[in-house]
Amino acid sequence: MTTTQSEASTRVLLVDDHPTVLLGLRSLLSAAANVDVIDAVTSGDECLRVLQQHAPDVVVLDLGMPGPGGLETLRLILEAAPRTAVLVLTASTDVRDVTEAIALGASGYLLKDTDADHLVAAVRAASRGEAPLDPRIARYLIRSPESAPPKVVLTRREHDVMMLLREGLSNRLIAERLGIQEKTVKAYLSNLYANIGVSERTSAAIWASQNLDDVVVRR
Amino acid sequence: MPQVAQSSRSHLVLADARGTRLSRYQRDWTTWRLVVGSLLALCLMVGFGLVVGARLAERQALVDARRFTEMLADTFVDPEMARKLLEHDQAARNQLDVVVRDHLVGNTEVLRIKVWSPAGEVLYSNDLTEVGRFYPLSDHKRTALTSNTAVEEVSDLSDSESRSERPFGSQLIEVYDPVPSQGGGRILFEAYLSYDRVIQQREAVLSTLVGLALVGFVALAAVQLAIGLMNMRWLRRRQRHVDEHGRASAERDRRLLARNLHDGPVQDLVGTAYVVEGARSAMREGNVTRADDLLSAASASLRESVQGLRAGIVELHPRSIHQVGFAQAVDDLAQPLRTRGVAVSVEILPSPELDRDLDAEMVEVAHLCVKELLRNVIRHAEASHVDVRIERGEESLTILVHDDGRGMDTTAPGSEQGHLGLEALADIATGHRGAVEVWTAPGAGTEVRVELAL
Repeated sequence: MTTTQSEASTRVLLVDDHPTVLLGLRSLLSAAANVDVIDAVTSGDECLRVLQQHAPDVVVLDLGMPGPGGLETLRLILEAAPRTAVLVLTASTDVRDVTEAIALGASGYLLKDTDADHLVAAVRAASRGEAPLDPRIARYLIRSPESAPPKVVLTRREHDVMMLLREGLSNRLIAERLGIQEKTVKAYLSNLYANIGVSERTSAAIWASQNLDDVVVRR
Repeated sequence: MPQVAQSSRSHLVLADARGTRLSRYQRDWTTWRLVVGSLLALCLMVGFGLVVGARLAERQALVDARRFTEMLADTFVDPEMARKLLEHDQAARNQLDVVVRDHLVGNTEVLRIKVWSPAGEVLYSNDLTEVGRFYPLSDHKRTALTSNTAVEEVSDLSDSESRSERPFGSQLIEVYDPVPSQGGGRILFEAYLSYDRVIQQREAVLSTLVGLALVGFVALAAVQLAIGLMNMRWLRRRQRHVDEHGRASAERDRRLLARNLHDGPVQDLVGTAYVVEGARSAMREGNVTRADDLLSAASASLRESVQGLRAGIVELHPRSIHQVGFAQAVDDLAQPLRTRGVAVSVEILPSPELDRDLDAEMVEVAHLCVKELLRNVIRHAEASHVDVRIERGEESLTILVHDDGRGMDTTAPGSEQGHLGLEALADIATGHRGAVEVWTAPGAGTEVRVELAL
């Protein structure tokens, strides 16, 4: 009897940098039958530590975390414990996040406004080896098969800034070339980083060298 | 459509741009205004120059005529001759007549010479029919006699005495020069000179002036115009820069606001929804204590969401600080950090009602500074404790933000001002005669002090 119960009970680890979300998830999942929340942690590093000690069946993972982000944590979890089912629970509907998470081996992808019953059902499904997908996310994937994410849209000026960044020019030189102020260049870069999903200059330059020819230039 | 309403309803056209050509910039008249304005100014300058030049030319011609006449009188009518003419001496009259006819008329611009007695008798004229006639002396003649100086005028020959000169033209220069007579008294030597002298002088002045105008004024106008156009182009370029920077900054601010809302209130609300669901489950199980705990957590989380949303509102509309209150608005700014588990203390000195006797703009600026400083902490510091202190001094307002985060290596390449993320603050401080100072080291946290003059 004891053996049966422990087999049926799903051991869940929660990872989210937002304390209220953790509290809510914990209270919700703890109350569900046959679900056992073994820990709730706020960072990828902690997650990996707990993973070693407790070997959860399912990790409910947020993507938008500081430090090693959700996607990196996902990769490390599956590297350390390949049999763990990782259920991504995020507010991001960015198709790049979705495709990358799935490519890395996430078992499921849910949006944070999923209602409680579906969430509990998804945790159980993930533990059974199924792949629960939010229907809205599934629609994205069907619409753009074979990871053809929608093209990045840049303004003419942003495109010019990217071209010069790709050539390795400093902000000052970019500003001189385009006849604008250096701080304007900085503001553009800050917007560009957010637009293409990188956090610093080198990544942006690498992104530009690979993708700049495919972007859509507005106006 | 109800036909009845047709007659009573009114029709307004609020916009109608159908069929118009869309151009990126509205047609710009500034350049033309500048060009036309410069030309107009040039025309005015030349016109004014011509009028003044003509006056000066006439004046100069009259002065020359007077000197010439004085010279004639001195040469040909000495006091002895004057006395003889007064005495109606025929020989003297003939002697003068020879000189006038042979040397003056025809060879110089002298058209007529008359000599008057103070009584108004024509003592000599090269029109001999006039000799011996009496005319009342005109004002000019009397002036010349009484003041004993030569007087000149431009005559239109309307006087009866000038009847015989009318064939010479519609205008002549008349000069009266008093000559003393031997043995007392004076006679008046009068010369009628051709008006051509004035015309020639005027033409000479005008041709010089036109030359000057063409070279000087046009050059001046061209330089002015060039400078004007250059300035205008510079201003336009600058305007474009400002616009472009404004657009890029606005987009950045909106993006940061969106992220704050996403990371703050949205996450709070998501979590709260789950907490409430958990409370429901607990209720179903009859675990009232657990449900109560969860609902209390949910309500705390909702209050945090309100703070986050209020910070968003202040960001969208900074004046709402004054409704929220400075202390509350600053505390709301700390919310994104607190949701990330960072402990934030806020101290406002001398009292939290600092904004009561502070200029409204200064309150908004101080709020903006705290916002920028905390934003920087969120982005770079990875801190666990942040202390915010805002203190009003006699002449300045000081904002101090200290964090125990990872600090910065200010000696590392690429760590100049802009990379510290404090450029906006530096601009604000400069604009308010203040200063921004940073104390930091890798691993030792960061302290930024912003001082603004009151």
